[in-house]
Amino acid sequence: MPTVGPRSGDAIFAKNAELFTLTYGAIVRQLLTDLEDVEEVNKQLDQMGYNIGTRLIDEFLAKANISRCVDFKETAEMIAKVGFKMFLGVTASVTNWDIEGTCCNMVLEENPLVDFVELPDTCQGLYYCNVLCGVIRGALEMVSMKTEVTWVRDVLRGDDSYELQVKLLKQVPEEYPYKDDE
Amino acid sequence: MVLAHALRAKFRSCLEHFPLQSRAKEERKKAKPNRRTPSPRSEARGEILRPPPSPSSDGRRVQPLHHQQIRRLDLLQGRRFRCLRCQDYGSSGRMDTNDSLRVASLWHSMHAISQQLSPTVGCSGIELLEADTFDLHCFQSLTGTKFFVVCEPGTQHMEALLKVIYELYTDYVLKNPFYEMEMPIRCELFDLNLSQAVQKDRVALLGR
Repeated sequence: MPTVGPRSGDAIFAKNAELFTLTYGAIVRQLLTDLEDVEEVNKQLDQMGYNIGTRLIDEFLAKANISRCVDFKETAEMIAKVGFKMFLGVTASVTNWDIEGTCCNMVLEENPLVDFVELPDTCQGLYYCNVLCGVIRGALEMVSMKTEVTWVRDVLRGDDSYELQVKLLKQVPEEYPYKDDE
Repeated sequence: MVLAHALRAKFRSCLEHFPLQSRAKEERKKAKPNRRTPSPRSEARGEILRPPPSPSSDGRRVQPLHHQQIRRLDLLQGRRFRCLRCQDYGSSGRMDTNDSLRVASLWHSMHAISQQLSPTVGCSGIELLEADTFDLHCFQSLTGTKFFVVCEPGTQHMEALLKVIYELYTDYVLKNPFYEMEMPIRCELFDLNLSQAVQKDRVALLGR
């Protein structure tokens, strides 16, 4: 019997990356079982993403070693090129800027969350990757930007790509005297 | 710079209540500290730094291996101001909780006011406060969290240390699912790694 050669590190890592996909799938599945309503699940995924985003932003800032972005365009580029790369291993491209420069779309080339996934008919209103919307919203809120992030195109719902719309609602810089809510 | 003097005076008056004592600069460099001879730099500054004659701590000071330049580290949250964590490392001048809260709240306000008073546009606040008996280095992340360290005057590489501490914070505090945001930090792993980072820094400083 031929001896099996040592597996390459990449192959092993790919298997571990599957664990991430499987874990996310398990979360969505459990939420559907618990909440039963697709809209509620969408909201929960967004909330979970928001909680993740508020924590992730500091790690992003610490590890990516970037300085303050000059405008929202630079911010969007940062998210698409550096942020997605750092945490998901994929890059996105930024398109469709509006005139004021406060709204853009991000097209994901790949989406590791949705490997092996097909949406059944009972879950047609589900935004499977809604957690990503929450992450971006939460992260930007911690750096004084209120945004609205929604899915424009979703392959699981029949479109040809994953496209997010990121809209800057307003900048809310912290000014002294700070509001103290206790 | 009037503002710098005013801030310095205010801060010094506050901290003079605390037993933070100065040491002769040459103690850091020589194996056998000679307290009588002030170093050229301290002379240039017009002050002679002598360690005060306190009998209990003198014995410790003679041994440079135990010399501790970093006195304390603090972590303040910008948004809803709260002192999340403070840690004393110095052998002299331990602050109790009330004192450290006082320092933290004072610093928080001063940092914010300085941002508004600064003559340069886009100022993000005080990064370094140099006083006679201590230096205070502050690092503010883009999310508003402030880290500051009080150390011996002239201590080098505190900015690098603060960056390391920021990374430790993002790893051991923020990634801990049981840590509630903006609450006081009670994460053992963070404490452990923080002590190690300060220890490593101390050893590196002595090695030069």
